[in-house]
Amino acid sequence: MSLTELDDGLVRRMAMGAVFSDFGGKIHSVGFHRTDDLLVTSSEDDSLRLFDIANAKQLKITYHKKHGTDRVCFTHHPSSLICSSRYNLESTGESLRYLSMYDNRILRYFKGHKDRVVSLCMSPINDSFMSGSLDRSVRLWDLRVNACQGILHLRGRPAVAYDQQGLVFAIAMEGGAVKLFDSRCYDKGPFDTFLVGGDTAEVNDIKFSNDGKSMLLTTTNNNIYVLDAYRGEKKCGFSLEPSQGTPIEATFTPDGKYVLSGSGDGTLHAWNIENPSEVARWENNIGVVSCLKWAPRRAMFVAASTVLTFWIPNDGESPAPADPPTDQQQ
Amino acid sequence: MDAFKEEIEIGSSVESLMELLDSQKVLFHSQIDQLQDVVVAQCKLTGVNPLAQEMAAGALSIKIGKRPRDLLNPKAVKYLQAVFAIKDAISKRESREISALFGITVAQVREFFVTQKTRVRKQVRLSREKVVMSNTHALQDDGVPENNNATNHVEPVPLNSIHPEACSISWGEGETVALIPPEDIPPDISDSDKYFVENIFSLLRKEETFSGQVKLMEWIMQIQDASVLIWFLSKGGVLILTTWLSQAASEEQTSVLLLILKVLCHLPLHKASPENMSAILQSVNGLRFYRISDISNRAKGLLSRWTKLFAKIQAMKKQNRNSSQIDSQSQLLLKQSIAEIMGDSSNPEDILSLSNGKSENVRRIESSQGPKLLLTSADDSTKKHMLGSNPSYNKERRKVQMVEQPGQKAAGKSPQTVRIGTSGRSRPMSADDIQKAKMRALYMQSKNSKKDPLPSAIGDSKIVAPEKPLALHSAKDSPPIQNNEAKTEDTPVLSTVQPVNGFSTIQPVNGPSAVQPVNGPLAVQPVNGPSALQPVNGPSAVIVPVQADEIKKPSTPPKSISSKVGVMMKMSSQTILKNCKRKQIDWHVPPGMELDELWRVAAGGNSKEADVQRNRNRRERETTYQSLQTIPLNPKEPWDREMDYDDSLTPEIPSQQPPEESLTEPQDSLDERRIAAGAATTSSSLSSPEPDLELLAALLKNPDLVYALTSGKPSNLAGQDMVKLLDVIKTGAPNSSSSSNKQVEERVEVSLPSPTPSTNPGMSGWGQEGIRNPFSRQNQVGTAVARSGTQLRVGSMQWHQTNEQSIPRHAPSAYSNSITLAHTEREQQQYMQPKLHHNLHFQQQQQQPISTTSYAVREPVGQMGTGTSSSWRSQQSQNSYYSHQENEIASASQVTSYQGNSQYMSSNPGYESWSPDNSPSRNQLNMRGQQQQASRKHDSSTHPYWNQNKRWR
Repeated sequence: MSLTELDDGLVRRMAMGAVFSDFGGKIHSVGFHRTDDLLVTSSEDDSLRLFDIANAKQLKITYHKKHGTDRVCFTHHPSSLICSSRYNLESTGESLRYLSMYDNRILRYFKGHKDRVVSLCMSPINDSFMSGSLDRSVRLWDLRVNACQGILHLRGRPAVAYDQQGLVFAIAMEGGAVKLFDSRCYDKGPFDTFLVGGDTAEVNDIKFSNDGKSMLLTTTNNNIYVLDAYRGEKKCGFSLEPSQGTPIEATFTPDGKYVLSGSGDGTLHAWNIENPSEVARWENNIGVVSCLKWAPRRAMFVAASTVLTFWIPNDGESPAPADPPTDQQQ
Repeated sequence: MDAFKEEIEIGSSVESLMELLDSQKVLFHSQIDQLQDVVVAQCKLTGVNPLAQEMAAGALSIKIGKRPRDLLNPKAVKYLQAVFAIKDAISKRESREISALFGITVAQVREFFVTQKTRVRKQVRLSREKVVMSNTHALQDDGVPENNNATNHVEPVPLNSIHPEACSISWGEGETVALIPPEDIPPDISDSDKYFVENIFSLLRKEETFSGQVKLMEWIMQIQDASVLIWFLSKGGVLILTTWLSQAASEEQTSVLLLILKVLCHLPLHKASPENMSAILQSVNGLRFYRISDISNRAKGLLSRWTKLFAKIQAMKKQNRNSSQIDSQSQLLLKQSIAEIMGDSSNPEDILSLSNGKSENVRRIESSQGPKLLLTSADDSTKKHMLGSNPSYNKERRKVQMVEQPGQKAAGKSPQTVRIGTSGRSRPMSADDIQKAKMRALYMQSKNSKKDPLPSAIGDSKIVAPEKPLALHSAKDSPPIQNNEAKTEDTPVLSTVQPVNGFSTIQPVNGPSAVQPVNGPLAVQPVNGPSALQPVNGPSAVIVPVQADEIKKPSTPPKSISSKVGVMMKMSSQTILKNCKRKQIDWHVPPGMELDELWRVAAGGNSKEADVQRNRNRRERETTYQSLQTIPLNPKEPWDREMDYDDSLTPEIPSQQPPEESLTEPQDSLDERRIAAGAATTSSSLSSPEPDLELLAALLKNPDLVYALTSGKPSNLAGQDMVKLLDVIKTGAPNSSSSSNKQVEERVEVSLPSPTPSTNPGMSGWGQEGIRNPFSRQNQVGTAVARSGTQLRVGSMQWHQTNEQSIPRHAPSAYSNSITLAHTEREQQQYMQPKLHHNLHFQQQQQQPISTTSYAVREPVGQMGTGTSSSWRSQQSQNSYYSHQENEIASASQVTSYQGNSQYMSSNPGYESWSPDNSPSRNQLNMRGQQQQASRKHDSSTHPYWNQNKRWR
């Protein structure tokens, strides 16, 4: 059985189906493979773990004590990853690593960033990828060469994302500006700039919806904006409880109709963005969810704090469905 | 609101009380009226019920007249008050954090604190005046001085503005009588002492100068009769001293400070009420790090002495337990507050935990039918005491506690059973218990006294160190209670301690950074805090689990905040697991989701890496680890370390959007080269006329020429005229010879073999997939490009058709299509350049059919064209990614395109015959269309797909 789109009922029925709790600390980031049923996580214990999301099984675990693990994402190959480092950035400069989980080997170092990488995104179409660092630069890379393909200097913490078609990438800059680049001729500079009016907080995270129509911005003060990806208009915005240093993450569903997000109070929320309204709210189960991603090709999402949880639609009407949204103001 | 209440309490004469009441009432009513007005107005304006909840909260604590969004939300108010209860000064950073936390402005936070502070000051002043005024009343009435004292001391204890009810309730219960037995003037005292008793308070209260204070204190020092001193204490003399102490500290009157400390030493403070003690403790504690070592040492010494003292008394009290449960308890509380204060610099949480605990207690009191004197709160206070005892110890505890927290949960789930258990607690102590307690106390004391001689300057951790065992000891030391509880709950003592600890983990709401009691003495106000309350609601041990349970109910605002933020952040993994297990459903493979084909969500279609890795994985053996232990700490290093690249060569990507003109031009050129590349497959290389910038400049200088070229019918233009025109151009464009030289050089460069395929694979791949960038259409430049792009299909189709001479009939339709194009001013500007040099080509092409004799003329033009094209190219290469690859083909293909055009021109007559009216104006329009097509052809390169498709169709 496979779905083409979700509905309110299904979103509301999402429930925790699997819990992995042996992470020795916070989970920094999670990433899905674009096509395979695979998930990778990076956590405070410097491990990278590979999960089978169809069967809710941990497949592999590797440790990276020398470099640490921070941002991580799959390349197009199901056992290759890009991972950013947390340690020894100054001495080695090896801020990014291209790894293979197949034989637990580093395939390539990408040197250049002088500080921690906070945003990492793989092109959905080819071998290029992008990294935004606290050294206030964004770099473009190609997996096949260790030389940087392009650098962009900003004045603040960057957040980067490719659209799901690989045609465009977006870089969020200081002052709430989101610049769009043509991924084929980015050398000419951005072709468009959106300003998220009124909110000057730094953008933590950008995501594009699969249909390419919407863009999702998460700011450091836990506001979420859904923008029209063509015109940059704010479609809707949600304000969530502050979470003091733990960035929250928001995600689109694959059909681009819903947005899910964690909150500082540990709850999870789901909104319909076509006619903006809260669809579901889940009580706090695992603390503040710092990583939240919906699987690219499944009706499931993962939420992670210090534990990793897989959420799937609850078909039997057994325990604890999401609380219907209350009128209570968050 | 709280001010209101407090002042009622304070009001000592009926008149002033009534006056106050009335003025407050008036104010209150006017505020309510205003509120109503605002609400109604907003209702009318917006049609929506303005946030009633928020308004109500606002009305209670905040001025009305602000816009609703400017009002502090109740949560924020509660939180601010909680913070204010701890400290009355706030740093910028804290205010920023608070503002971020509640979505209020920093200014609001600051304002809140300033107003609160002034309010408190006013009250303190007022109350002090009243104390002086009603001195006699106070002396006669037992309750009143207590009350006054509670609100009276200035510096060390800001009024706890959250729960004024708390104190009123606690005192209202009349338990104070039990707490501090009314000790009236002792009967058997000497005359001098009597005189002291009669006069000291009036003098104390009146005294403003330090010298006078010194005199009075010396007088106090002379009093040796313990009963008098106790009387002095019980009347709140300590609080006055405390006030002086803080004043002296702020005025840096070291001699006064020393004297006050001496007096405090002299006074039998163990007899003082815990409220008084905590006040003075704070002040003294604040002096621990006083600049002058003498004072700080003395303060430390005092503190350690008191610590010892209370430990001793505590132990003593055990003996006559039955009679003085309450006393011992108050001692415990006292000790606890000592501990708190001493630990406070690192434990803001604990302080808050107390205040929260208090709020909890208040609720208990309100809900329970009446205060039960179960006398069991000793253990509770010990727990808290332990909590606050030692910072480092505390931290440790908290970590441990994280793991143990589920116990708390378990306890929270069964409050009923616990309650039953506690009913058996008030069982009288057995002689055995007492004996044990005594032994233990003695042991502890000996330990303490051994440790004590340590120089107190070492710091509070040293001083506190004996506290820890003490705490433990006292926890064990109320044996009937503690043991009982341990039995009934069937958990080790540790876990009974734990709930309180667990509660404290909730506290990090205000986070270590949010509330740093920098100003130590101001940190706590336990006067009307739990210490005052606990005697009233005895079974606080019961409360603890209830608290744990209630964390989930966001009913009490201050706690709902804390539970919301704090608990979740610090949730132990066990708790989480427990939570999860409860809610977890059975796993099943989640249904797949089909993505809409039209979205063209990419999945690494152009990735080479995936293949490379696939191949590599075929060569390599997969590494698997049998157990967790065998997994290496680091992955294997790469097979070969690559050389570091030169980062200075990394191309810089502009982060600013290029201005429109500059974007148009290179784009056109890029497009031209791409279309050329596309056409190159069918063309043979020839020397080519390229768009000529010099010519362009010449044309721009001679608008007449442009007009001549564009207005007249091309076929009608005489060959000689043409030559003339070109001569004009030539003279306008200097140095054609040098440009031809340059051309030769450039040729060499151009003919170098290109290292990469002529067409960018990524590009052509994109084009062939036919995905057009949805974004480019949206931006301003993109609009033009995209719009022309839509026509371009027609244009290019037409062009190829004419090129192959296959279906000439289609040409007219193409024309009409292009004519319908609406030209905006902007577009015309954009097309100006391409238009112009296409005019030129047009002109060149005209020559071919018209006059072969003009070939000689054409040649230099061609040279010029290529010559300048090189300069153009160099210009492009600055910002173009592909510039070197396609030049050769570009120049070659240019020929084809113009050849095609010339063919098209030769088929022009057909077009003319088709056109019904051959008027010049109409023709001009057509010309424009033609030019448009030409320029559009440039754009068409973005869509080689179309070119190729149409060609083969």
